[in-house]
Amino acid sequence: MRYKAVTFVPKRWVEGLSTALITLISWVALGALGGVIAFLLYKGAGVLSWAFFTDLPRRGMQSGGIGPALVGSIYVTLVAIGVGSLVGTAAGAYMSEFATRRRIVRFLEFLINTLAGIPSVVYGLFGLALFVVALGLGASILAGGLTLALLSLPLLIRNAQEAFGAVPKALKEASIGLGASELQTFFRITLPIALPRLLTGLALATGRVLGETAPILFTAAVYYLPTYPKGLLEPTMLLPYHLYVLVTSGVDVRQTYPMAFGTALTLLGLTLAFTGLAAYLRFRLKRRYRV
Amino acid sequence: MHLRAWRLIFAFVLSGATVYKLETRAVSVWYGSYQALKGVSLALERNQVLALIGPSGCGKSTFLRLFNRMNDFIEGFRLEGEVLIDGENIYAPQVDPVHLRRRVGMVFQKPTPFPFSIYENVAYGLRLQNRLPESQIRERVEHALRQAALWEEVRDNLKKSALMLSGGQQQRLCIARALAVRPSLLLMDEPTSALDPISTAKIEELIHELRQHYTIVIVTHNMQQAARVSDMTAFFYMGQLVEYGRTKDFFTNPQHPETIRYITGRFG
Repeated sequence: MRYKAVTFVPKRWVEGLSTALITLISWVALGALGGVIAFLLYKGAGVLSWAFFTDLPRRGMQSGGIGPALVGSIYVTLVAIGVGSLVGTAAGAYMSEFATRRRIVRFLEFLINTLAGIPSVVYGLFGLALFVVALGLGASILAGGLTLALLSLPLLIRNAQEAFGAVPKALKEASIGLGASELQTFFRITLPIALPRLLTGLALATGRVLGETAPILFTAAVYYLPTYPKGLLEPTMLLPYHLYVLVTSGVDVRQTYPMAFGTALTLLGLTLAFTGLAAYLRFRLKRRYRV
Repeated sequence: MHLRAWRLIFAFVLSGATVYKLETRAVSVWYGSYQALKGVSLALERNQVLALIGPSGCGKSTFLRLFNRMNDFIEGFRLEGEVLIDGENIYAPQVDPVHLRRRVGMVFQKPTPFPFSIYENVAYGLRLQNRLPESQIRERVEHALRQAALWEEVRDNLKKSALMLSGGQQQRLCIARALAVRPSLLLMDEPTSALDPISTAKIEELIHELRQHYTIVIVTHNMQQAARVSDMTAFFYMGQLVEYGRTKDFFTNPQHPETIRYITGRFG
């Protein structure tokens, strides 16, 4: 049998050159990322110590630590992700599993994509108007957390929708066929199998929320507080805003410069820790469910 | 339970004859504007095996899924006519489809084991219902696995993941899973199309065994299989029930030209 002539066969040197180019570009991108981390380590590692994480800022933020900002950021993130994950997972479950009309889902998807495109400072203004003023929460951990929850919702909803949608339909049908209600099927089959993907989305959202600056500017953050936050309705120092303050509006910016790099490094470390945690959980659960 | 028993007796007296295990009366099904079934009427007696054959898209799967209301989830699904199990119209408004599905087992085309242990797979349907003591669940899991001819192969590995089993074993596990909730009717949607010949032979043997206690409806693409396992055969074409009769007559003496063309392999 004769083979028909193939019209286009790439030359071997073209193949080789293209592959090399793609590899090179990838390494440049990865190098840039590594460069950022290395640069932060070089500039900021010097100030890192246990005291830096736990101490209050002292002498006009030129010495001491970032304790209140670190704790404040963790609180605000916990509120944001706590609320956001519940609402986001429920909404994603509705869109993927329970909505009966595809047109409604399409419409919701459109709305969510629109929300995802809104600049974060607009969320800040909205949070100020709704949570801080209208609901009377004041500038507080709760108001900031809720604002950030709103900001992370589009991401969390779409992620949950995709995670539930990726669970094989055959398994859901098998469960229904055995006499499970839709709700039983969701909690016993769909949710456990989707969990690894859900957690990954949660980690990405956590990283994003930790670093967001604009939404907390008007809703939670203060320039300087001499104490740790005491309650959900208190305002607090926060890492991203603290970083901004250290770089632009300290008493003596040159003196606070190393502190700024230490803060940036802390922020990066936290994000990496959350991502790593999710990757680990995902790995464990994936092995258990093997899907 | 009482109500159903009374209804059975009532239907029995009324008809003055057998209550069929399954019956459809002038059933038509639409998905949106597409008509998938056109006025299908058919009846099947208890402990019989009914094979549904026909080319792809002829409506045989739609027909099968009527009996446990799996079509309800499809957008635009609409039904006319009556579908009866033991004389009871299962599309009547007071029927809860979740309860119905506990009386009707289903096995799908591809094995669909849950990513749990073998034991938990079989126990799944039991745990959905009333809280049974674990000893009783264990008993019923073992019984179901024996019925599905899988017990000897897995008795020492009940805690292992069901995904470790071979394709044929997985399909028998799915049969055991369906039997564990003690249905009286078993629906099989091309249960062997994803399996090798040896596993297929085992499943067919199993169908022979199960027929003593269950009424079985099986969709198959394989006409030899239909001839081997079934008592009755129904041939669907373009949404219509073209021919329905005893399997031995069906293949030796088909009546309709479409049937003859199909079983002699001229289309499909």
